[in-house]
Amino acid sequence: MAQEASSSTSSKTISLKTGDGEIFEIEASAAKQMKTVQRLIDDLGDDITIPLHNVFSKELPKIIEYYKKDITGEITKDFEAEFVKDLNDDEVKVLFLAANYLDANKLFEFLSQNIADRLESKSVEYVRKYFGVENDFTPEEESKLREERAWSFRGIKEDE
Amino acid sequence: MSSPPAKLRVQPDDESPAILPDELITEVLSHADVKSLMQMRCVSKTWDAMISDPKFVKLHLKRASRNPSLTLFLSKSRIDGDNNVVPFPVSCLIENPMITLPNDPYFRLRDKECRYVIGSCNGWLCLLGYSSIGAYRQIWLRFWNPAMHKMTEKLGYIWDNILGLYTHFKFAFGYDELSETYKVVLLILDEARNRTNVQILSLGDDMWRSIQSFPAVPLPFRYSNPGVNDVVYLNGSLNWLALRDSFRSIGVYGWKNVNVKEFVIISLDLGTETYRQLMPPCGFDEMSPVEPSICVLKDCLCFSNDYKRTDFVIWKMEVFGVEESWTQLFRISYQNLQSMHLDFVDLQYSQWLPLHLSDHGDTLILANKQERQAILYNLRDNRAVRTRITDDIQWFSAKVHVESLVSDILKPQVHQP
Repeated sequence: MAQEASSSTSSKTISLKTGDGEIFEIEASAAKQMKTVQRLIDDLGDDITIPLHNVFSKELPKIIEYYKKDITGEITKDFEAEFVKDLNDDEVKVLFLAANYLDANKLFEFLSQNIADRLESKSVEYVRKYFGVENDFTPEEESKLREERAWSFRGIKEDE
Repeated sequence: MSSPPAKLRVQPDDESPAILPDELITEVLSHADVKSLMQMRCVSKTWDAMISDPKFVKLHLKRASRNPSLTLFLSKSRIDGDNNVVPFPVSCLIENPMITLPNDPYFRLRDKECRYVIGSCNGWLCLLGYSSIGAYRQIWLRFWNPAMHKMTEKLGYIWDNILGLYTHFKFAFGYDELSETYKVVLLILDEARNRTNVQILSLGDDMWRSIQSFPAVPLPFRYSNPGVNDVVYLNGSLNWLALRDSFRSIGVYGWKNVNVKEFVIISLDLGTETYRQLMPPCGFDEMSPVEPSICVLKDCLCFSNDYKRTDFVIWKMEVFGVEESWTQLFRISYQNLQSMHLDFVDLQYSQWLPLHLSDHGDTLILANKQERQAILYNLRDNRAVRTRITDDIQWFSAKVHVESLVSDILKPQVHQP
């Protein structure tokens, strides 16, 4: 059978354009891991620059870095720890939203866990602010609940 | 202004930071630990409802199952049954085999009027306690979810002639998905007739019920405490390795005289409350002085046996119930299980029990009957590392346990549409 050059060989790179107009390159095999990107490639072809309106130049390089490691099978616990080490809680949130938009499952799962881990020792007030939730308990209702579950409130760090 | 429908978060204004939509909040929370989630129930009324919703509890349980613990059973005093059980995350154990267990009174069984852990299912531990009154013993069960700080009253009372407990009874605990109830099974060994009589208790009911007996006797026959791992819960069934005949001919040295063909796995379906017999792998064709066993690894029923006293073999039933699907999973030479610290114990003659296989399939946690420490066996480079825990842990009683939000196991687990 004639060997036809396939348009999805692993050495091919795809150009991605962020919402703020910057262009980044990614290997086709890494792009495959982001289902949104792959769908756009399937629709628009892999020769044009794929527009990603909801991802910005702050996040995309980080995501590319993650999937570069993923395609070589090098994602370890140490790598993941290092990957999020210098990100603050808001930066992780934005990255998580980007991973969701890109339908990048592995990164999405990892960041879900990371955000959950970060919230482990945070106060209820912090969690409300972080997710933008309004407290609709009355002060009496809330103090009653806290009393009932006093055991779960031991060991909270001071909000940073 | 009319109030918007209750949401997990409010509509943001243009200056507010990135806000996660509801589905993403649920996703994040499903990864959180139980303690945090109990705090987060105070965030708002909607969050309170969401975290206690049965669908969320089920999702959270599914996630938590990927990161289980082992219940480490410590006997502080053999005389008065002062035992502790500490759930310890497997991931921590693998990362650092040298741990010090917390000496927290929260983990004392005596304060709960119990002595042993019979089983663990969906975050709940089934505890057993007893007291002696004259020539009789009253036995009871109690259920405890350590993560939720929830415990039931004592229930399921039975009476037993004082000699009976350790040699004639076996308890098992599991969840029936069909009726959405938790059940406890009591096996009463009828040695004379080579049969096992079975009673079952559905949690929420008052009484034990008799169900069909089976013509085999589960292993082990003699063991040190009712908390020893002698049953496997898998996919709504309870499974025991048993012997059809020759029970009477097994003495202390009698294993070699047993015909391999007499081993059978009795599988009790908790839904239909009927059992079927499953044959062990046909590759297990030669008896040895060492007793074989069954366990669960990676959600599959596994069978493990000694091979000619040179290797420890583990088989996996790829498709549950299909005997042709038995495949050899690992064959580990005893030489590799010996670590650099030489022991006087001849490990080839003692029993091994696999406890857990790590997510990526590279670390196997194994217990040995003779040893105080468990072994973390790296399957990639065939290296064994021993745990270094100063407490005296009974590894053969370690149960795989997960943290769960399941708050009430005495009521049918109703699923909302």
